Amino acid sequence: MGKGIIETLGGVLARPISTIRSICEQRPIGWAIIVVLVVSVVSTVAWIDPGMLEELGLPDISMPAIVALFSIINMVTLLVLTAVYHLAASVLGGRGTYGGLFCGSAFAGLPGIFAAPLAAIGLLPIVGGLLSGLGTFGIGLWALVLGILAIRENYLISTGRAILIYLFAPVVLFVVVFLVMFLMFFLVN
Amino acid sequence: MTKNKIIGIIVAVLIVLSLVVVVWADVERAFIPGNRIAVVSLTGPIMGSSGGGILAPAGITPDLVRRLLEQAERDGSIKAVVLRIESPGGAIAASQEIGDMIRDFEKYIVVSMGDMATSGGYYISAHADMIIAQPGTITGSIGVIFQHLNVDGLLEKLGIERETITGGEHKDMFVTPLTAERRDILQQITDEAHDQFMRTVAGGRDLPLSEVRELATGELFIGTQALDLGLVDLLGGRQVAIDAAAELAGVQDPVVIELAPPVPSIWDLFLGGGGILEIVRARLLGEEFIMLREVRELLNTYSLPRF
Repeated sequence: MGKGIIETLGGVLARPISTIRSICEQRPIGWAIIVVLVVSVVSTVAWIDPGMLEELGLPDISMPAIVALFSIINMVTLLVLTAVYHLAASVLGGRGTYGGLFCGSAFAGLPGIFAAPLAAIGLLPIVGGLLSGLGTFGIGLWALVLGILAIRENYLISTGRAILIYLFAPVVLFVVVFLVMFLMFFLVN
Repeated sequence: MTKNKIIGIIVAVLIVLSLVVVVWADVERAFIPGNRIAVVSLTGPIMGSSGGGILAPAGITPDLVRRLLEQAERDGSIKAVVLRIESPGGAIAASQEIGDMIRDFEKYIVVSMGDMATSGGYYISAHADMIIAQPGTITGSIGVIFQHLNVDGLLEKLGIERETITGGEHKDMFVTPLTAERRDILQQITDEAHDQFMRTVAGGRDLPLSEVRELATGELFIGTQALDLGLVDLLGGRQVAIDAAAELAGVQDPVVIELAPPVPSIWDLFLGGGGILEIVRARLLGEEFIMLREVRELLNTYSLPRF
C-alpha cells in the first residue's frame, strides 16, 4: 500500500471516504486479512471470557481456542457476505471486483477494535455498563456506515443502492438458509 | 508525520492499554479475594434434561446446576453459595448427580428452602453444609415412588395395536400388566433406592440411620417439625441463609449477587423442547400428530422410580 498501514488505518477512521475508495482500488488483500484477524482477536479478548461462554451454553474451551474460533467465524462470514454483496451489486448494475469489496469491508470493520476501550470503560462502577453499551451501539453504527461506503466506493453506485444491498442482501441470504435448514429438520423429524 | 499516522498510532496505543486493563480485570476477578455470596435459584421438578418452553426452560437438571456451581467456583470473589430450592423432587439419578455436585463443591453451600423442598428437593438439600427452612416450608417426603402406567386402554382408544418381540425374559416388563414376580422385582428396586435415600440423609445430616428410617415413610413435614427432627438447621428465609453463609465463610458485609441460569442458545430457541420449530410443526400437522408422537415416546420409555 502506498501510504503504509498505520496511515491507512488512521485514514479509515479520520477520512473514511477517500481512504476506503483507495483501498477498494488498490486491493491490499494481505493487510485486509490481517485487519480482520486483529479486529477479531481484540474484540474477542475484550468481550468474551470463558465464563460467558459457559453461560451461553457453549463448551468450556480455552481462550486461545475461542479467539481462533471467532477469528475463523469472522473471516468466513466476511468472505460469504462479500460474495452476497458482490452478487447483489452486480445484479443492480454495479461494476467492481470481489477483491476490492473484500478489502474495503475488512477495513470498514476497523471500528470493532474499539471494543477494547469500551470493555475497559464497562468496568467503571455505576455508569460503566451504560457508557459501554452506548459506545457499542455507536461503533456498530459507525461500522455500518463504513460498510455501506465500501460497497458504494467499490461499485461506484449511489448511496441508496449501497444501503439497499448492505441491508437486504444478508436478509435474503438468511431467509434462504433458514428455509433450507427448516425444511431439512422438518423432513428429518 | 501526517495526521492520519498520528491518529493510527494513538488508536493502537489506546487499544493495547485497554486490552491490558480488560485482561487484568479478568485475572483479578478470578484470583483476588472478595466478599461475595452468590444466590442460585433452583426451581421445579428434578429432571435428567430440561423441559419447558423456549424462553423459560423449566426444571432442575444436573447440567444447569453444574454450570451455575462451576461459575461460582471459578469466581474467586464468591465465598459461599445460597441455593434457593423450590422443588417437589423428581428423577433419582439426576438428584444423586446434583447431590454429589453440592457435596463436592469446594465452597460453603447453604440451602434456603422456599414453599416446598420435598423428596428429591430434600435429597439434594441434605448434601449442603446447612439447611434453612421457613416455619411453613413443606419438606421431607423421604421415600421413593414408582408408577407404572398401563396404556392399553389409551392405545385401544387410538386404534393402535402393539406387537412385542423380546429377547430376555423380563424385557417386556412394562408392556403387559405387571405380574406378581415383576412387581417383586420393581419393589426390590424401589426399596434399594429408598435405602440409598435414607443413607444419604443420615450421612448428610449426621443422623443415626435408625432414626432416619423412622422418618423415611414418605411423610411430609412442616418447617418447624423438620427442625425438631433434625432435618433442617435453622428457621428463616433468604436473608437468614445469606447471613449463615457469610458466617460459615468468614465474610463480613457480604455483597450478594444472583447467578442467573444460562441463556438458551439460538439452537434451543429453534430446535429445543417447545422451540419455534415445534410450534410450527404443531400448527402445520395438528395436535394429533404431536399426541401420536408423545404416545410413541411413552411406549419407548421405561417407567422409573422417583424421589
